[in-house]
Amino acid sequence: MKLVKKRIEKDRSGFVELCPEELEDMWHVYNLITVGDNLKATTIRRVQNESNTGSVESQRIRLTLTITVDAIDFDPQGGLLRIKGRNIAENKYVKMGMYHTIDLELNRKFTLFKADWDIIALERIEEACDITKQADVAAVVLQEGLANVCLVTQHMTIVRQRIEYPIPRKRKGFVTNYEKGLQKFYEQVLQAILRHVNFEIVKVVILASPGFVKDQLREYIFAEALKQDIRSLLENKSKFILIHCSSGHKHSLQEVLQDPAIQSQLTDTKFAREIVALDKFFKMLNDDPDRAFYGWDHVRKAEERGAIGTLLLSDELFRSADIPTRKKYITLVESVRSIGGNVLLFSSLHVSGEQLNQLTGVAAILNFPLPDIELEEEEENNQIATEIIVNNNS
Amino acid sequence: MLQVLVYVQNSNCLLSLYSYNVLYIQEIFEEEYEYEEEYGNENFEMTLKHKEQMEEGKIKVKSIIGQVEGITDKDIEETLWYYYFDTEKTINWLLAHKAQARKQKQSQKQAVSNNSQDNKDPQSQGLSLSSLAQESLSHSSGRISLTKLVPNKSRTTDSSQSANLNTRISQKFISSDLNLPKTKLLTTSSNLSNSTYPLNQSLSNLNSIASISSNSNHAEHSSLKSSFGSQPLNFQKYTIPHFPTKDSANTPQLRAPSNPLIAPPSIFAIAIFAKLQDMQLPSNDLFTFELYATGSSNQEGFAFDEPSPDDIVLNAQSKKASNTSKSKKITTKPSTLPSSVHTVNNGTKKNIGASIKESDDDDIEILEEEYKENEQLKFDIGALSLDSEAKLSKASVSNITTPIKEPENQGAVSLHLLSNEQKTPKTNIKFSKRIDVIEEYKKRVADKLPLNLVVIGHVDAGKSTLMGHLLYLLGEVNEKAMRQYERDSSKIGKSSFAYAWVLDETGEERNRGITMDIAIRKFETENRRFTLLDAPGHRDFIPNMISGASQADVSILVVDATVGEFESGFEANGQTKEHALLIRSLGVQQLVVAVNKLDTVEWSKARYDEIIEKLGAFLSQAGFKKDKIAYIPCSGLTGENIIHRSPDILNWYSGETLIQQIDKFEPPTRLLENPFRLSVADFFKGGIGNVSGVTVTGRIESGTIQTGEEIAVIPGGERGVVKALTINEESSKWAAAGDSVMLTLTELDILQLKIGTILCPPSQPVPITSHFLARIVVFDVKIPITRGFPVILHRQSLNEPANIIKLVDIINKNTGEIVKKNPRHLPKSTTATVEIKLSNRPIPLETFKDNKELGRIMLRKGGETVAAGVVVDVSFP
Repeated sequence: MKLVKKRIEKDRSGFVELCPEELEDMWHVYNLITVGDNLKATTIRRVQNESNTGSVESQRIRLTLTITVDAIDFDPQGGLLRIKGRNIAENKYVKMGMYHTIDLELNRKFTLFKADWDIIALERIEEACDITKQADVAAVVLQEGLANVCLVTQHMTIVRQRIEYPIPRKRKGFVTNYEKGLQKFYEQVLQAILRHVNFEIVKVVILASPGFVKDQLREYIFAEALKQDIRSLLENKSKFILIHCSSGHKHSLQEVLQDPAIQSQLTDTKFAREIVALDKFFKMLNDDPDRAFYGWDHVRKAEERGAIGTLLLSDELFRSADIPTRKKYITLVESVRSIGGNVLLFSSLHVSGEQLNQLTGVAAILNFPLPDIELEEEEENNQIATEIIVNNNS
Repeated sequence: MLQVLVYVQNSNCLLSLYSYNVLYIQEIFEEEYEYEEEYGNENFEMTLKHKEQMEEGKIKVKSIIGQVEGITDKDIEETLWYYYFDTEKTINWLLAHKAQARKQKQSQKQAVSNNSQDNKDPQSQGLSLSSLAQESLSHSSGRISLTKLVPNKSRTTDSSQSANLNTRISQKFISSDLNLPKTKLLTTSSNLSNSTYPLNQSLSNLNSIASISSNSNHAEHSSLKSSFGSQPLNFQKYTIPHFPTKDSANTPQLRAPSNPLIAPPSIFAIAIFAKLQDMQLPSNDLFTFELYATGSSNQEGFAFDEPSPDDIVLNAQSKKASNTSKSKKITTKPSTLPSSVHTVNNGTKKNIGASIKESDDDDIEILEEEYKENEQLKFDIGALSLDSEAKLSKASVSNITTPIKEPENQGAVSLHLLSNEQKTPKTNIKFSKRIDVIEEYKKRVADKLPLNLVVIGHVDAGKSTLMGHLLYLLGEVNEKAMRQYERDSSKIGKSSFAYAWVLDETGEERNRGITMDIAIRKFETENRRFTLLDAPGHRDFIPNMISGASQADVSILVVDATVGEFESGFEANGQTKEHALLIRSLGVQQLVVAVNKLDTVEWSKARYDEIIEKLGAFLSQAGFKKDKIAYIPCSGLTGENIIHRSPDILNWYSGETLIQQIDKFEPPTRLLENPFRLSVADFFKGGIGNVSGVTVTGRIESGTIQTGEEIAVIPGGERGVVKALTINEESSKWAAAGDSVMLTLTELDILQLKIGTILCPPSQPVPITSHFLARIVVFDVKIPITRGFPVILHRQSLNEPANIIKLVDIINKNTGEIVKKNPRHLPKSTTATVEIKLSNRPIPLETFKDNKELGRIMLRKGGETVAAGVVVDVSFP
């Protein structure tokens, strides 16, 4: 994304002018815009004219509109961002207060006005406009009969295609069915790779599976590439990496991205950092549960005591939240930073972000144990419901 | 607010007279009394708008019920008017009326003689209704808002005597009406003519209802009006069963079908009636009263502290079935034929209900639909399985006690009706051709006990070789093929794998020298008939291993005695422990440990003892009983101690050989009486032998099946017919729980099948769910289980991604009491209750209570089994 212009006043109100350049930028914009902001962008609107004779003529015209945002809609598959709102700058065609839905387009500038540019929003712009390109990865996670063809970018994991093909099992003295089924399955996976992977953009193609499915798939792919003379595959043979994972379900992508072989290829990418941090959180929860907390109440208590070493947050908290909730989390972020803590904002489109979302979207690894947090809560609970049997320090 | 609409209708009057009566009485009200605004004054005259509505309604009704013999346009018009253009009710009434009329003709002759005894039932019903009316007055909340007397269905009765009586009655009613403010009393009667009760009494009773209700109107009307304003009122309709008296005795089975709308009163009603039991209020008209639903319902839940009505009925059913196994055959195929009448009604009702529903009513309507359907199911059961009257009444009594359905049945019930509505049975086996599977099963069991045996152990422990050798020694592999394996395996430098090749048949497996998928074979010992499942040992293939182990009753655990190998298989990353825990949580209790490859350690007794000591400690900790575990020293490669033993090699061992030991396995109890269930482990196009179709393999989890029977495929609900089946590669006419079978199904699209699909009888489908409650035991996990924990859920051969979305509580393993509620995380080896939600799609699942085989689940993550457990509850909103 390109930052064209930025003007933010001392009272933190102001505007930025941005130009999205690729699919992922739409995701950033989606996270940037909140209900109540003003957006100025070029758009197409169908305008109806009634002539003197009463005949109605409608035409589509391109015009620049400024709207107050009412609703935001994002489709990660197609990278489509639609913003609905009321017009606030009258022009020849559109009256004040009329509804319009802007479809943000790539490579077209837009201006976003906010009454309050907070730190999360500003960081998001910084991140989005970072020109150091990091690797885009295509990953095929598969097991016999099931494959997920995914694209992994900095902030998004998109399942491009899910392939399910029933493969008959081996039976006594009759394995041809099984082997035929397997070949057909590989054929489908190959077609999906050709359809969805753009080798010009993608730096690495990961084939991940339990057992030997990945090896067989690679053999099949290059045998076919030779047979059918598929250039794009033959030229990019070196981009294919085989990684072991435990199943063909989408969950396994996390295992794949945690693999040291991949981590070295994707040095210091955002999603790799996220996965490491989440893994660390879970390890801590197991080894020393008093140093790992999740949920707003617990994390806030830890923050009050200045104990948070690493704060894990999901971007979903900032997107859908109303202003007080958003403020609440921003104060948390600022306070953790002020005591030298590390804050990681997870993308909810990644597998790790999804998991964090399930964990209420906020979690913290503490610098020192705080066993009394749980005790306190239990006491509160006890007051409310005395019949609950409490076994503390567990 | 309570209003009693009493329609006293003269059975002998012409239809036009009937409507005239209605109008006449309404006019009286209009003139003399304030009329409820909710019901609108426009009720009384046929305005232009009404005519339009009438036409519309008529077309609608006709389009739905089609041209049914005996229902004229006039009937439709009358009924529409009567129900004030409520097409839904109209149709139901018309259809019910139609069925009624037909039966009436048949039973007319017997009617009079039967009448006196039949009236007992209606009497109590009438009593309840009227007492309800009284009681509701004292309840200021007044949920019962409207009580209607629906015109009796036997309008067609012809008797001059009744005509006279009726005229008198209606006159009296009309006159009494004049004294009753705000009470709509419309004509009805008909059966009064046959009634044995004194007319005066019944009249006075009816009057008393009316007067009571009218009193209440003053007080409650105003309050309700203020709270609801001018909004249309929402009604939840509950109908008290009040069966047409003549038919109930003669044709009890048809009771339910003829009254699709009628269900027993709610608990609320029962509670109210109990007080006024001693009041005698005879009446034998059909009463329908409507309960006013204000958000919260007055119904009380069933406490489950006594057998539920379903249980009672089903118990009775099964008792009956076990008494005479032939009659069982009839009951196992229920529902389809006798229910056909009412499913028509039901179907139409549903359709219309959906289109007509007011938005406010939606929730209530849906609830009500389910409620009624459930009741009908109960009637089905009652009507079908219990033919004696005593049992019937018992069934209906128990129905009355719990009108609220049990949650477990929710899915099943709606599915059941759904499938009945849409489909006609694809097959019907003639009675004479049916096989009594239970009897046959007893015969077969007397011969040799069938058992499913899974072979487990760490990768390269020698499972396939040991089993291949065993099969060879038992003569299951012919000599020529064995020579071929030996030659081919030595060609690629893997001569030691020759025996394993018996089971590892795919090119990939042979080249790599490891088993990747379950191999299924059969063999027989002296007293047992085994289905052998050779599981892969490699950790990547544990899903396949679970698929095989879930079909097993007993197990052989193979361990490698080689120095270093046993240890690596037994330590943290080895599969020995994981496999053992898995089969234990899959319900396998008997285990033979084959200490393999003892030839590599010179048959050392010290090594053998060391291994069994280590293993023994672990296995008993894992929950295996000591007396259910046996240890056998052996060698798969040399074949020592599999069937024979040379005394000079194993001189320190005097126990059983492997084959002798596995001959001692005890078969577990099979769920023969449960409904048929088969979890699909594999399927492919093409049938067995010459039959074309789709072939499905798997183990029958419960129940029995025979060729020619119809089965439903869940999820999806598509149906197929079993054309052929084989057990252990031998064709058979039937199969029972525990058998590992191959079924060829016809009339079924292969796209309907998936691994993990359940086959079951159409009448008893498996519930499907995407959100359920489970009790799990957490294994030795590195990271604790938290909320949102992503797992792969395994059930039989099925594996699906899922999330643990809530940690409900931690339970003390031994005492079963709750240690901690809403824990933050579950550390290793805790027992806990959790909520699990499927990520992609719902799956068929039964509670452990309902089906021990289908109620077991395994949770895995990152190639490790993190927990195993049982399903506690599958019904979540």
